[in-house]
Amino acid sequence: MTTRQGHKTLTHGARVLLCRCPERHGRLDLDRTAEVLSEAGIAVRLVDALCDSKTFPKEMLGTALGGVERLVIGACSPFLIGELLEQALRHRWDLRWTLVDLRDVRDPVALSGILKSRLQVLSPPFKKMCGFPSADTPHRSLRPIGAKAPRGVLVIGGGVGGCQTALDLAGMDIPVTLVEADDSLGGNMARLDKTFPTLDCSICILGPRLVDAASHPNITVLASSRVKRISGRPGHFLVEVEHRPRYVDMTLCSGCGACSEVCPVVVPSAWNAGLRPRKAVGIVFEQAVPLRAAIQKEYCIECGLCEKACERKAIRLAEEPRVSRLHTAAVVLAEGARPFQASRLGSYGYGRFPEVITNLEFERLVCATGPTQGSLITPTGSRPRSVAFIQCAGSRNRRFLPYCSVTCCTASIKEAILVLEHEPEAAVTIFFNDVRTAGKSFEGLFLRARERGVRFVKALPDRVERAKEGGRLSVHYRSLAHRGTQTLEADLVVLAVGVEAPNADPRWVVRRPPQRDRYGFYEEAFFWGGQVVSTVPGIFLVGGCHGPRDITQTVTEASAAAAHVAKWLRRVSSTPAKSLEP
Amino acid sequence: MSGIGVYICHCGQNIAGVIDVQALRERVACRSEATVVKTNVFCCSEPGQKEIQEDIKEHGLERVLVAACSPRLHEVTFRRTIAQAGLNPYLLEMANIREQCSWVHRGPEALDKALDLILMGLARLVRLIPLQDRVVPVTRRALVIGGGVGGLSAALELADCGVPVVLVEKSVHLGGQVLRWNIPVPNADPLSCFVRPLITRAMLHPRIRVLDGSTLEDVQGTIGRFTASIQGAAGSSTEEVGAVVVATGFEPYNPDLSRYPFASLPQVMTSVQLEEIFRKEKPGHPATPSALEGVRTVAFLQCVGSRLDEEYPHCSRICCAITLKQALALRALGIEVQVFHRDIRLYDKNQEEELYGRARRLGVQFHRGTLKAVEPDSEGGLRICWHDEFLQSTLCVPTDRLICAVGLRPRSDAESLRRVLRLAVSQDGYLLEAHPKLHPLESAVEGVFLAGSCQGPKDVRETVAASVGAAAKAYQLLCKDHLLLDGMIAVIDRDRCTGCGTCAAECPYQAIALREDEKGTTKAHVETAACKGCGVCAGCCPTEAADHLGFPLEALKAMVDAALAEGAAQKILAFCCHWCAYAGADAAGVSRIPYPANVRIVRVPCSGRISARLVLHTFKKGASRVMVAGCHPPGDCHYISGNLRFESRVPRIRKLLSKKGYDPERFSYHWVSATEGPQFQHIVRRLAEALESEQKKTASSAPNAAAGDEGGR
Ligand SMILES: Cc1cc2nc3c(=O)[nH]c(=O)nc-3n(C[C@H](O)[C@H](O)[C@H](O)COP(=O)(O)OP(=O)(O)OC[C@H]3O[C@@H](n4cnc5c(N)ncnc54)[C@H](O)[C@@H]3O)c2cc1C
Ligand SMILES: Cc1cc2nc3c(=O)[nH]c(=O)nc-3n(C[C@H](O)[C@H](O)[C@H](O)COP(=O)(O)OP(=O)(O)OC[C@H]3O[C@@H](n4cnc5c(N)ncnc54)[C@H](O)[C@@H]3O)c2cc1C
Ligand code: SF4
Ligand code: SF4
Ligand code: SF4
Ligand code: SF4
Repeated sequence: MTTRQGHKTLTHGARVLLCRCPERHGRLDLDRTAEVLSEAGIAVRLVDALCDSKTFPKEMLGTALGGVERLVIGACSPFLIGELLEQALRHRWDLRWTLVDLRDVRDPVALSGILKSRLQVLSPPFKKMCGFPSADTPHRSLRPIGAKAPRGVLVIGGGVGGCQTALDLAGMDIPVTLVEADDSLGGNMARLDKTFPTLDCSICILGPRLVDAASHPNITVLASSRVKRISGRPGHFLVEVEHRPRYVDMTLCSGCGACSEVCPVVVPSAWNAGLRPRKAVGIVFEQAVPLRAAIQKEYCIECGLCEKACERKAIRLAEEPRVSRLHTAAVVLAEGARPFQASRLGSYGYGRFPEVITNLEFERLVCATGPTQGSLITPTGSRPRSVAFIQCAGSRNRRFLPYCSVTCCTASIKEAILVLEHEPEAAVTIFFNDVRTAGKSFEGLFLRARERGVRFVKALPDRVERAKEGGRLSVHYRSLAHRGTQTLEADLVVLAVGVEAPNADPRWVVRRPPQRDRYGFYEEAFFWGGQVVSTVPGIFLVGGCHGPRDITQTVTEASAAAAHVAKWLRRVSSTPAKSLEP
Repeated sequence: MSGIGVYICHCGQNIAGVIDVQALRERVACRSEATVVKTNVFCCSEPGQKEIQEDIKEHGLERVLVAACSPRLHEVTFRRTIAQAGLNPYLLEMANIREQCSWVHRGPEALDKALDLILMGLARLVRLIPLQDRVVPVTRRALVIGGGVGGLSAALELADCGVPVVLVEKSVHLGGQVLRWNIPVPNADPLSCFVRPLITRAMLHPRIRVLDGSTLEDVQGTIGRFTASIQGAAGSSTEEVGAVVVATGFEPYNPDLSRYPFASLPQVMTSVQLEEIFRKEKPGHPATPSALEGVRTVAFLQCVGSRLDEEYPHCSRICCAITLKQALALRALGIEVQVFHRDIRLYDKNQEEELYGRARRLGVQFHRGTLKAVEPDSEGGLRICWHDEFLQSTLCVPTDRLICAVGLRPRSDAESLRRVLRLAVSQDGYLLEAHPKLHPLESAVEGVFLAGSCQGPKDVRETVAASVGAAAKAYQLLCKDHLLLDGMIAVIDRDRCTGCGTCAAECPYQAIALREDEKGTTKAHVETAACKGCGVCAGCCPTEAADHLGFPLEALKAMVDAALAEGAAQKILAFCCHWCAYAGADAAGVSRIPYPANVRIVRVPCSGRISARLVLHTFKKGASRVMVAGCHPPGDCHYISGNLRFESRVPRIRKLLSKKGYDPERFSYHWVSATEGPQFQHIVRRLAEALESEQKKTASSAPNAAAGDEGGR
């Protein structure tokens, strides 16, 4: 295959280093591979565990690689050992190296072919390469960009996760653009009444955070905007953001609400889960950030009353969508998860019976800023005497969501306690599958609920029905303790619906967009990698968009992602030419 | 007083639903000389803040009082608000009419108390002086304690960002507990393949210095400038660092024989032992560990050492998933597996629910219920008797081996570290974070961060996330040369100071030195950068020469005067420390735990700020009861030992009171933590009951006019 000449160039200054990792690919017969390569005149070294702190310096540091110009390392994935290799070889500008993952290789002879071809790739024409190419990213994309690299970071999604990432990055003096699709920051947490396990008021702790994020000099908040298109390459993304018209001049509006007073059109407030009417123009909720009005144009009849009422002349009925562009070095995806559509669970009667509501609707219902100003009144207008929570609504069900949605058990326990705070005499029943209160001090909340008299029944109800017209709902379930079906009368049924993967997705015009897993959540490329690494270098994941999470986990990940971004920025902006440490 | 603006917040219905804010506004307007008195639906919202800023410009306000929620929540917010409008941020006061009023009281009492709180606030506000933030240089190095995956990830993250790191590990090798776990997680790279490169990287990293076999003996200093003494095998050394990351990990539970008598049987082992008997797989060899030779059935018992109602009610979070991994490994060896559990708790969509399904399909049996007994049977195996929730009956099954899925516990040797760093623990014994939702990575001590399973049970994935996150927090501190600290510190009035040295001896931070001035007399001198602002010096100074800039004696006295201006005989005056007792009163509010409305709370930085004379002053003004509440000793005090300093003063206070003719029994002190709302209620109730019964007694002997006082307002 190779000519004499080619052969010589292939072997000259070349080395193949193979690791017989005992745990990962110990079954592969590397001796055979080594044999084949040696026959071809290529220098091969076999080591027992390359990453071991005793072996590694012997193989990689000092004079160990003297005379080697091209090095192919057959070991594990770049996520496991890449940073170690890079740390050790960073200053060896005379050395070109690459890493081959041996995990999925079965045939030792075929492997020798792969290694040889990698050696060939390392031949002089591709001189500038440095850093490790991962299994599925092209080499060139990981080359440092140097001083021309953009410094900014794009965070998509302004929930608690996105805001925390933005704040942490801003604290490191890194400029951030935070794009939020809704009219206000806050995401799901802003809609909650209380948060478990401490039952502190959700918007009270979140509100200041949102104000901090919006007022930070390093953070630009783009509300009512969506990322339309992302192109470019890792380290230098080109982002197109579309600004949905709010029909209100954000620089003039003071959020006084005079416009919504005069607006004649009453529409359901999506923010309040449709439970409370609002006007076609107005602010989303009292602590919204930015606190500016917006017109829901699909309902607006263009009567112009708000234009007259607004003292500041902020109404712009003819506003058009705008598009802006920016360059960023990294992208953080914090789009959160979507609640599962409860109406898909036909047998629970969501949508047919007004007393059947979802957990998120319940949060709005008991919230002081919600539709009833915090009184617990069922949609039929009465004070509930019996409330049933049905857990795992959609979750852990192969037909709908095959995974556990993580927060709904503890959320329902919290909500059960809230019911008792409003109606101490009410009978509260939680129908569960497993009680998953595994977080710090969650078990205490569970015990508290049991002490307060919340009944826990291990059963998932079959169906919810109304026995007679105008009567109460009956929840039919099969409990373990009794034979046959049993019935519970309830005035309010709360479905603890799970969460689904985010569907909104910018159009990716990059070589490899971030992958989704089989449930549609963003995939984490590296199991042990602190849960924030996406399949594309320079793109990081935070919060509900890559799996159900509670707030604590989201906030923790947000900080972790900020650290990863900081490191990534250092890396892309480092000078690609020969130089010592910056 | 001109130039003061008062803003009363509705907080939606939170305040306005209980207190008639308009009436309150009018009463404040006619009882004080404030220039502007307004109400707002949400003062903290953007327009709310804007209104304040506009008024500052328009009316030339110089000081602002916001009557809203707890200053613990929004003091920082409103300080920034007024600072943006050009005022000195320290010229702000908040009257806590939500947590400590509308959430715990009802009716006219609530309105009266709200008015008092505002008048007390105004009394302090007019006596505040403009302060400047202190600029403190930052030592741009980090100390990481613990060399498990948590500590390694944090150290590497910081080092990669350019921060030099000192990594202190107690044992002789890095890696922590994960090196003991040999059973692989399905569908993932082996744990050792993740940890080994981390260890090597840390050892070779040019910016990481690993000190193994070492422990932290002592830490002095404060955020940005800590001095740590480290005791190693080769002797002790000191390190100057700007931030500390704690990653000391957990400890697996060791079954207690009095609770689990069967744990000593030879057929019973823990999940930790099971991991350890699994040798690293040798290629081509059968993988069955020799200790499991001939074993056909294995049972797992979940929640060993966790979820024990009285003893340790907490869930260990990860043992269910570990059992799943172990059960699958045993099943792959052809062993029958049964799992006796309470709930199966999995919280990671990536793997676990799917593994649960796979385990069930592969024939692992799951039984939900409660354990009745474990006894050896005649054939050398075990009999497990179990009350099954599904069958509603007790069944006994034979098994060859029983594996106790032991829980995770805080490290038993963490106490000395805790004391050195002044960290608090939560109820489950793990290190306490600054806020369970929004500050899970910070400890209450500024500049000290929590990484990994020392804060609560975490698997490796979560440990890495938390540690890298903690590194991000530390990096935010260490990426700058300077740090701004608040200006609320101590001052010494040279004229009054006699140079007695009491304050220098009592200051928990050694921030006071005695120096000779120009005239050769010895005077106390405060090191501004070292002072943390506890006010212990002001509390102990016999000549009242030491004072606190944010809580000056004059202001505290004025607050007491305002609180007791009317109906003093009916009132309980409570001095509560900002960090624990005041937060505990807030917690009572947040949980809507009502308590008698005749208590008036004066916030102080620390119980150590309270001097004997201040207590005396309060009685002189007619208070019927005076209480001082601080953090639980010894460890909870935010200022190391301020609470103990105060306690040591109590005998002197009692003596002074009886000398001046006041019943020392009317003075009391208590320890209340930030979560102890019910305890706070209990204390106030007891005081109020004592007061009531006393008054009934006096009322029966001599009719008292004070009763009409409350209503007369
Ligand atoms: C009923 C219920 C109760 C809960 N109770 C609790 C509790 O008590 N305690 C607790 O810890 N957790 C609780 N949780 C979980 C908690 O809500 C989540 O953990 C948290 O909100 C996740 O935050 P996030 O930032 O990841 O996502 P989100 O809060 O969902 O925020 C995502 C944001 O991104 C925006 N966005 C989405 N797509 C785009 C796009 N393409 N472009 C721009 N912006 C976009 C969205 O508008 C949204 O603002 C509860 C969840 C539910 C459903
Ligand atoms: C039986 C069992 C099986 C497990 N299997 C898995 C699994 O398969 N997958 C998984 O993800 N997780 C697993 N875990 C959990 C995993 O062990 C932890 O998540 C992980 O060890 C946490 O790492 P850490 O760094 O926080 O703590 P540790 O690993 O405990 O490390 C702490 C380090 O700090 C050092 N240290 C402690 N105190 C001091 C001090 N005062 N000064 C200096 N140094 C100190 C210790 O010596 C230690 O090296 C398992 C746990 C158990 C009990
Ligand atoms: S648009 Fe005008 S009327 Fe409406 S909230 Fe804004 S300023 Fe007020
Ligand atoms: S958290 Fe609870 S309710 Fe939610 S999916 Fe998981 S087991 Fe079901
Ligand atoms: S994780 Fe599972 S086994 Fe562990 S304490 Fe919690 S419920 Fe019990
Ligand atoms: S306020 Fe506290 S820290 Fe400051 S000098 Fe006084 S006693 Fe020391």
